[in-house]
Amino acid sequence: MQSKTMTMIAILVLANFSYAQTDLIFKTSFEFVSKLNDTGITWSGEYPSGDLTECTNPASNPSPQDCNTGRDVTHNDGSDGHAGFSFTKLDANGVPLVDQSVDYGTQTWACVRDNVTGLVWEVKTTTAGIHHQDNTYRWGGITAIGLGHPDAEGTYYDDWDVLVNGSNSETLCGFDNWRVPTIDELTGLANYGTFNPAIDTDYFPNTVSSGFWSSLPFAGNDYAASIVHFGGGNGYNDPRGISSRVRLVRSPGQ
Amino acid sequence: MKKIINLALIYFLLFSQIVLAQQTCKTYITDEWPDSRYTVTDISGDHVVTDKQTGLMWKQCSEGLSGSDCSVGTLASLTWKEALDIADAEDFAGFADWRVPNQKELRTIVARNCYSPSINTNVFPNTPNDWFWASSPIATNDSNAWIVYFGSGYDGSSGRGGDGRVRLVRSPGQ
Repeated sequence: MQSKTMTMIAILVLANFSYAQTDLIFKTSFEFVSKLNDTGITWSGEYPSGDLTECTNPASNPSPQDCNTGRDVTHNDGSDGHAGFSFTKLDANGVPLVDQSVDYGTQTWACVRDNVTGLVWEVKTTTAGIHHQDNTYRWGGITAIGLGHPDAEGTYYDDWDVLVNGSNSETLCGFDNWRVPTIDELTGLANYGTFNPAIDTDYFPNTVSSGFWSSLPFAGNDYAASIVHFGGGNGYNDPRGISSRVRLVRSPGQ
Repeated sequence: MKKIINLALIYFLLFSQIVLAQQTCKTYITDEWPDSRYTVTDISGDHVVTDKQTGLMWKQCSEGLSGSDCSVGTLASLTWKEALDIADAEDFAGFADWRVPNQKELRTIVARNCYSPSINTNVFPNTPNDWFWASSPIATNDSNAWIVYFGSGYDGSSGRGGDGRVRLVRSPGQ
């Protein structure tokens, strides 16, 4: 189905359809297969305990496991992010840095594009302002799921509106559709190959190993919402009134 | 007296089962896991589910269960190694490339608008409120591997020698 879709798009582009029309047809006529990031795990786990440093399945646990499949195997190119991840550093205007290998201390960047998912992510900073790494917010502002819905349950705090509105008004990296990520987008960014923090710090510097809110309220308890801890990359639920960090995201084509 | 106790017991069992089996979904949380996202296919009696959003193909039933409503058989409890071994040996619906999903893949079938269980029960019937293994060892503890709790959708890790449930996956076209 994916190749059929791509063929159709190629035909439409060749026929000089506008991009908007192509996009519309793409969305209405075909199923959209979204790409998942791999986990970043490039090493084998033994049984019942112990880990290897490489993906060589041990005698104690010989069957295929995480490290044997996925982008971490098929696209393991360390030049654009750990293992199967593929990132591009963007300046504050959304222009890719000419030297993608530069470190943050030499030249800063404001956003990172995930070339697998297509999402663009905010990079936290150490300078004063709305993007500072230590800014925290209670859950529930602009783009929180269910905000304004007639059946919405529990309290929605608007603390992070200053971050969302501020990023849109400054058109951070050229975009004005910033939002708080879904739980799957957020865990998708995590690199489970490491921890403290569980993220590729070559692309996401200034990431504190702490909770980062998702846009998702917890269905099981309207006192809580879903959060990802970037110490280990695990998702769980926290009371909405707890102040935690937020990393904004935006989707292509919106 | 004995009869009354028996009746009370029967009533309790019925009532508690109804409570346990009752899935709750919230209308204010966007349903990104509707029936229309999935295709259920019967291949010579083997039921598989294709997730049109991720492209992944899943076994409709948790390991140990079968039938169109996954009510036949006994739910398997497996260690992490047993889960990986079963996947490696699996031949189902004409495919031999079944595997235990990694943690990010496993999360994609969590229906976060619902709990008890947090999954589309039309597409994945009779899914227990229980822990399901991922194929992913966890970096923070070399005795554990990643898991997802389908009672409410959060994740964590569990000892590799402990018991977990398994739902197998494959990547069509790879």
